[in-house]
Amino acid sequence: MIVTTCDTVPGQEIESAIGICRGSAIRARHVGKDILAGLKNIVGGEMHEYSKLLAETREQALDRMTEDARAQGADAVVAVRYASTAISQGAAEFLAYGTAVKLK
Amino acid sequence: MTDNTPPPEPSEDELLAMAYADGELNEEARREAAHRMASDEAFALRVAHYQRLDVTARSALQEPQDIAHAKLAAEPTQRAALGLGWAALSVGLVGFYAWIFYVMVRDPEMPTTLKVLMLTGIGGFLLLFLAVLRKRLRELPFDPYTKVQR
Repeated sequence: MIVTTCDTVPGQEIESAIGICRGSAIRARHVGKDILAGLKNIVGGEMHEYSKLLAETREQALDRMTEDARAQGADAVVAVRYASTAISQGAAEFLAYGTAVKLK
Repeated sequence: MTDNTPPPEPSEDELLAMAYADGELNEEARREAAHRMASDEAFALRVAHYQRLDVTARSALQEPQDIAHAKLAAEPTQRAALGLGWAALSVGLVGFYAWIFYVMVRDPEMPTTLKVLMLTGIGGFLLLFLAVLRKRLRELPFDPYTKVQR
């Protein structure tokens, strides 16, 4: 499955657009990591606890989007975008979406 | 001495789990594998294992500070400071709140109904917490995203 942020798949021709495919995920880390991240707020530096949280959520949302595209019979997903918001404190939400297409 | 024994051939189940995790199955085979995962926990765990490898492999490469971070995390002083810190914080907080509840429950001026309601609420919260914790622990082996670093 080709997944790209481009509007086309370079080197290949799109036969038809199937429709939107999307995947979202919301994840949280346990309270211990929240406490450590809070302390990091005082001393500065990268909050590894939250970097990891965002990365986990991003990958899960991307996999769900790819799975959605696969279920629709797509060969590729073009124009992929991410959107992020905060549902609750200490949790991360990612939405990955794109256009599922059939290639020639 | 180098062991030149070739690794064992992957079993049919392993090949199927790998193909599922890599998205290489056709629609029908994929549906069958998904159906099997619902009833065969060992197979579902195998798929989760290969999904975890796939997710970890496409994650960002190691950065220079990761080595320093890992070294510091392994230092006995750092480990002791974290361990003692967590132990002291847990004992202090649990003890503090347990003491407050004990004082409230022993208070003769507090109506019995209020005491019962308070204890019921705490009991309910603990039950809910245990149910959520149990669910998370059961889900953990099937979660392929826990190894992603950034």
